[in-house]
Amino acid sequence: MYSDNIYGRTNNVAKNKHTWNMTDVLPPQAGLEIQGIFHKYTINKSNSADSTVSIINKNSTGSGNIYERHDNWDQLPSNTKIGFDVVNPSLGTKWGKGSITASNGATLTDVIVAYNYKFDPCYIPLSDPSCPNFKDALYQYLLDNDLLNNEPAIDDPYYDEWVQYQLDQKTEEQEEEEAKEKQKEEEQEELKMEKALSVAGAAEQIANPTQQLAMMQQMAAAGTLDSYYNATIEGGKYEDTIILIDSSIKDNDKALRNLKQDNLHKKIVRSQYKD
Amino acid sequence: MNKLVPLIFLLSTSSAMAVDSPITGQVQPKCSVWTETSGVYGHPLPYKLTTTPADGGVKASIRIDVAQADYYKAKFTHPNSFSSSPTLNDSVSWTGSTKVGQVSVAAMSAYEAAKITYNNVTEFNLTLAGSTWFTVESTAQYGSTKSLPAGNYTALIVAECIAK
Repeated sequence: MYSDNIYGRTNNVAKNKHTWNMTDVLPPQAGLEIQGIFHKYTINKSNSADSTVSIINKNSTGSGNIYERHDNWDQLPSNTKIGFDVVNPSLGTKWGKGSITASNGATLTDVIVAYNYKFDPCYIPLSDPSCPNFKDALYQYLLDNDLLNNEPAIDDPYYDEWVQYQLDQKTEEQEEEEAKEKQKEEEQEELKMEKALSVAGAAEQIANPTQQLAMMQQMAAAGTLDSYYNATIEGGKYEDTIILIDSSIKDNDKALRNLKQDNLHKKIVRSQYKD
Repeated sequence: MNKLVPLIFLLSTSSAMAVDSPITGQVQPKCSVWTETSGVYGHPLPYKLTTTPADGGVKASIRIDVAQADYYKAKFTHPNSFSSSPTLNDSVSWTGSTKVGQVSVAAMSAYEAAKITYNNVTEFNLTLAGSTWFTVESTAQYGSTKSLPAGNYTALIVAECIAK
């Protein structure tokens, strides 16, 4: 997401008339700034005559001119002049009515006047969802119009954006939740792993004879085995607790058959070593 | 012996302190010459080549940009021979001219009246900073009215910006 300035030049604003309204010739983009003025004209006059060619733009937001150029053609022969004036970029909305004139009866032909301009397509971030800060601007718009939790009217200029915003919010919440769950799972997985590793460590220690000896010494030193050594078994009669009730037990034919075969096998094997 | 050591040291350091320290600079051209439109010969008659548009030719347009006023003059030499052509067995009669075309400053129009012309050379005194377009015409006639041999013909205009 980024925005770059767009640069351009108007058509010839003096093609049909030598006066023009800037609102008719400049693109309507907000924040458009004028950077320069190109001009070309042919002046027709007698060599001895005095004349001045003036290109002017009124200041639309105040008095006077926002731009003016005066070419002095006093005592000069007719000719074609071409030029470009760079100006400090200023908002196009400040540029008022424009004109090109020649004084003292001189005439102008083949006149070209064109304005070089630039504008940021994201000057108003809400103008395009791909603009940086679009979300912030939309949030502010919804906040300002009390639409954050209220559905705007369907004819609201940002109704579609509102819907998208809501969907985005839901998606974000879901993603956050999923991320949390994933993190939890990972933590549990880590915990299991730690436990497994700790058990593996204990097993190693048990297998280690030095550790074993130390463990035994520790146990003996604490008198842990004393309770076993010093156990006293009371004297007296201990009755059987399991009683088998008599019944007929059948011979295991299968086992007998196996034994018979085993005997036969044994005889065959032995017979090999006779003689 | 010990006392000699610092003396030697001093001698050696004093010789190392002598260095050549260069000062550099770069001179950017304040006058430049550009061909905006290359000339083309039209061939209205069997013996004639001309850049006149009415005869199918194109006049050459050469622009000279001057950053510093009144330090240069422009010198244009229109052709008086072909730089390449089929073999020519007869003489060629040359005519030509250089005029001020478009200007970036109105007062440059005065260059035309003040130009100096000699032989096939035209000089302009570039008293103002800015761009001036010069239009160069050239015409060649072969023999009296002899047909030019078929082939490609090239002639050169020499445009110079000369410091005054």
